Amino acid sequence: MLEQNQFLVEKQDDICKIQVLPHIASAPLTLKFKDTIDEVLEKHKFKKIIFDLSKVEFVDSSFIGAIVYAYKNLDKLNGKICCVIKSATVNDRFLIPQLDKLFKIFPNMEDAIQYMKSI
Amino acid sequence: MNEGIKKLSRKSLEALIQAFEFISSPLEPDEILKIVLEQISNLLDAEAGSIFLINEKRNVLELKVATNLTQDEIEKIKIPIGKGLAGFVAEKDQLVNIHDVTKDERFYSNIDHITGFTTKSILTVPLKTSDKIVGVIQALNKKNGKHFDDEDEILITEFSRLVGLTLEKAWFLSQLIEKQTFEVDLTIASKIQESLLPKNELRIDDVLIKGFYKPARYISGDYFDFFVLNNDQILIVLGDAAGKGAQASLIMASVKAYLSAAIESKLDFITISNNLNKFLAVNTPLDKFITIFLGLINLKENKISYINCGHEPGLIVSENGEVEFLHSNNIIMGVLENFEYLPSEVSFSKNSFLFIYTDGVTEANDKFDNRFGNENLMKVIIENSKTPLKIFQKLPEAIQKFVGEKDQFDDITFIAVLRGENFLSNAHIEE
Repeated sequence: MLEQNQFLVEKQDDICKIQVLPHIASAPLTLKFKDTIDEVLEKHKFKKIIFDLSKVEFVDSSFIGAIVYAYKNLDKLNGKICCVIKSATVNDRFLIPQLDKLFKIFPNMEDAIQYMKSI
Repeated sequence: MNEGIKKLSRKSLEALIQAFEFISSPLEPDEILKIVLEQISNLLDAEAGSIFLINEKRNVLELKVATNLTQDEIEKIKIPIGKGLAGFVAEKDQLVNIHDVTKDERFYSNIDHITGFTTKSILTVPLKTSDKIVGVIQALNKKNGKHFDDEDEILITEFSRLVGLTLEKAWFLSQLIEKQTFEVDLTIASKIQESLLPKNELRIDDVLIKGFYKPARYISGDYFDFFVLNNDQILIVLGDAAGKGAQASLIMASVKAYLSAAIESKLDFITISNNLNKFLAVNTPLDKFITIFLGLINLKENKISYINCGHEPGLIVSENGEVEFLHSNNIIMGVLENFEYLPSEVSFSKNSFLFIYTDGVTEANDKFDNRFGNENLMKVIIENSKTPLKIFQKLPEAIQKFVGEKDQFDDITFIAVLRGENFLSNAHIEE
């Protein structure tokens, strides 16, 4: 388990869980978030990533951009991402752009892990 | 006067003062480094010298100037902090004076291999600003076969201290000038971006189209436009690129360029949307996408075909305040290269108006991070449904009142398409 101040990176078999700890996930956090994603992708070569946004109550477009970045990178490698979202506001921020057409969104971690294990 | 300087001979002190005079005139940081290199040889009677600066991001010392090396050779030399003699001095913050480098395994001989120079003795000292180590200075080979002595150690220590403070001032000034130049560039960029947006409202028969644009910074990722395709059809566009600032604004400038060319080529609405998405998917960075609302207004058939790609819902509002939402019906653009976009169709009768906005409206936040939200937006829309042009005044006022003194968080853009003589006669009254 690796805590990088604002993110908790945890490995479970071939799945990497990245938990976002701050309540507001916007531009000031995005750069570090992208660095974390890069590390998980390039250094640890994970092909299954769960973004745990259960503590997040607001996301802006730059932060969503970082998740799209992970999706695009992994899609090329036949990898998968999914998100755990609890806040209705955050959920809307993913559903309005129809991001659920790109990757799955779950209300809890158990469902997300079960999905990742099934693919 | 500090203890070190007190121990210097009069001759050394004069040399130190003279060396400092050379570097203390207003100079660029790179120029200062070159002069320091010359002065090291003069001051210490050294055959050669070099200066490394720390690259904090990479945690390495990068060679910046050195006697007998070309710029290409200089750029190749990087030493990890803690490695080699220079790395040791930078890490430990202590002077090292080696009389015979062949007897010290910390000595990094690779530079000698490149230059053909043979280092015998070497004096290395940390280079510090007022609060941290920023590099190291090295003097190589005392002339006449001697080695660097105690007086040389004091000289290089004192000179290094003066160089550090001089560099700190020069870097600060350089950053200040850079910042001012950047702000001038941004002001120009801001004017160019505004020139890409429609300058005036558009009136055709009983239709009036008007936009509002207020970037959070100099430049923004919001874009709106309207194109008259023929006597019956008008294409309206409102987009928002992910993120803010220069990257987002460049993406939106390319959207404008693409749309203008596509419309000139008489491509149909769906083809324009599909090709725009493909263009963005191929040509934008992986973390970028846009949300965009494309609306094709058919005045003859009183309808709107719209492709809402992950954007906030468009609103069709009747003059009695009834609202129909034109929700997102397609995925954001720039992600799935071969996605096929399909429009939805709604009627757009006279005496109603279409209102489209970016999320900067609803996400405007106060100092407690409360959002302006849909509720406040709808309140302004419905209160002004009989006189929709007033929204252009009332909505920015309501947002400003809500956010108070908090800086604008996101770009705020909206457009309204008004249909019907009632609205237009009101427009004349207001003007």
